[in-house]
Amino acid sequence: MKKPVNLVYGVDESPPLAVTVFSGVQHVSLIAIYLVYPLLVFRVADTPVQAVTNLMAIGMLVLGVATFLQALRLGPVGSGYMCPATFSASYFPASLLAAKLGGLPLVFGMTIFAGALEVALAPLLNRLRAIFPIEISGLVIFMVGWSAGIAGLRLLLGNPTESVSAAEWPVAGITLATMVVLNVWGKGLVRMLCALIGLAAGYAAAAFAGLVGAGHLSAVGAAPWVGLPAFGQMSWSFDVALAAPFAIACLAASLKAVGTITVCQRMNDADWVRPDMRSAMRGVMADGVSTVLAGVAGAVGTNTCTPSVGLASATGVASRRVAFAVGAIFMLLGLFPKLAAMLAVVPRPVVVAGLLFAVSFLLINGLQVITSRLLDARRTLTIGLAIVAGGAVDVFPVIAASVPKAASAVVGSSFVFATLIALALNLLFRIGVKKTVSLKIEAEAVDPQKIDDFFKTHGAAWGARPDVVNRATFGIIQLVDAVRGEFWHRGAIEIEASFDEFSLDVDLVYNGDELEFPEQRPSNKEIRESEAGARLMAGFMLRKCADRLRSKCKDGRANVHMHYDH
Amino acid sequence: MSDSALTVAETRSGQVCIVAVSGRIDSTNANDLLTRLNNLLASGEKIVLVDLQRVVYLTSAAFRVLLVATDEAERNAARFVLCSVLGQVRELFEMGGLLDAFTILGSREEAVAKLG
Repeated sequence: MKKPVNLVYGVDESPPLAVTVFSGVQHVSLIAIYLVYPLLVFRVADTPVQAVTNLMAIGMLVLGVATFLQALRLGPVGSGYMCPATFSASYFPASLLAAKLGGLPLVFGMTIFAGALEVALAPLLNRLRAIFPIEISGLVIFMVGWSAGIAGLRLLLGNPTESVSAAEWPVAGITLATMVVLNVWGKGLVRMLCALIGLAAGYAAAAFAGLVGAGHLSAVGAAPWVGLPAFGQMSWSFDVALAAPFAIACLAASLKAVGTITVCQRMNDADWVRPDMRSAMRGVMADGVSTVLAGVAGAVGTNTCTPSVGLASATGVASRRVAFAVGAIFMLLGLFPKLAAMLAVVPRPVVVAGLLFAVSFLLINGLQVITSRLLDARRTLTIGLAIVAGGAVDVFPVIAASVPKAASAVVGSSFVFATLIALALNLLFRIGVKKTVSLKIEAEAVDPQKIDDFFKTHGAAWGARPDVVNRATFGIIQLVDAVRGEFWHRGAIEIEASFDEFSLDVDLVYNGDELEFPEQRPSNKEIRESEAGARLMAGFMLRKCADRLRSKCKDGRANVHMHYDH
Repeated sequence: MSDSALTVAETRSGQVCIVAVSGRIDSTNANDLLTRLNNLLASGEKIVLVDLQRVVYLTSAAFRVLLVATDEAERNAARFVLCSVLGQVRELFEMGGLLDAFTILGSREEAVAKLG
């Protein structure tokens, strides 16, 4: 890993204590805006203010633990990067649905389900890349933004029991305007803290407009300055009808985590070529474990905080020590109930304005991810039709009303429905994507250049990445070089290469004996002493070169299959 | 990769015997290279610098040659050093876990300055 020039402190470097603490405070301020997600979920579930205060404190403790888990490298858990946790918009639509249908027990129970699913999904992510391509990750982010924005507006405009008052409009306007002005024209710290300053300005405006009632103030006054939140006051329930929305939310969170950790990898390595799925999978595992903990403790699902990683990139401070500082600060904040109480009584227009500010970035992030790759007709139709489908169920509630009750949780959510449509179309459009070519090499005409030309020509025609093509070329040249002579008995070697946008698979078949592909490198002495040692080295290198290698020999025909992720 | 057979050229800079290898090294020509290197060491060369800058690719057969030559150099109390191990060739050394098995210096100029 080579440190990029614009990075001041890399992931394993130790900044001075002051830099670590100050960076930690900046990240916590940035992440704090996302506390609006659990806050809105608790409000939709009609949770009393005191209980919300307690749950917000628990939520901050959960964020602290989750940030530590992500920054550590505990076996299969934790990416080891400066990638703090946050309450995610990914779980917001599904959690709102659960809050409406079954209150907080259902939110917490389904959150545990989603976290467990993410844990199960993590080791499979690499193999499932074809099913969840990058443009669908982008769509998921876009639709999370879309549905979160609509949900926020519904809270303000579509609430039949408490319609929007004349005083709430200017408060929402002041909150949003403060955030926008500071973000667009502000500089340095003010710009970074624009959301937090906007919330404070909105809070003050709401107090001035009489929207912060005596009940609210007494809740804040009654909360102690220091104290442990009360655990064990919650219950959990499960509803199979919500399995699909939470599964989609889990998928969205997993894809977002992979994307965020990939950004961390790129940020820390000037020679970065492709995502390292091992650390990404460990990161998704940490994400899943944290979400299970969140559900158990009484919070909504957590996820990696992409804007925070963006902040690390902007400041050049990507040391994971900062993540430990972020985790510690959140845990400390969780021990100040008065602060949690202030968050719990944030007036409705202030929360909704903050949400709209946050989702604006989410929508554009989603569009950027979607358009980060060339969109051919297949991908254009997949994404385009999915967005139309998602929009349609929000605009025409009659669609959800007309389907059987069991399907209403899927069709009733624009986020869930659009994602499912995209996944289905993606699978459908994979028909006819794979391209296959073959090459025959006669024993008397082994020419490495011919193998090189074969892969270069077809690789270019397919649009395959040169680094992957080079590895496949080396694999075949090395394999032919190793088997010629003793192992390859007679006839031609047949090579078949298949490519789709996610994998390059190469099969090599010859009459002869099977080569050994050891997991461990032979010793220098073994390599030196005989050609058999060099052949073992060839087998070892071939295993290292391919992302997966399979070998078998039947009736005197040896077959080696090499798979390269693309 | 490009169309190139193995060529080996020897030059000298002070006490350093520079062996510039270009093209591909595989099982068909590895023994030719080994013979050249062994001959140099047997002739009493005390510092042999193998420049791999123009090597297009190599297979495990090449690693065997370089390991055997390193061993031979030790027996002859000579220094056997590699330089300009770059790009794809370096990746193959990394893949094989062999970067530590050899003395590897930077460019030819740097290596000569250090060894000479």
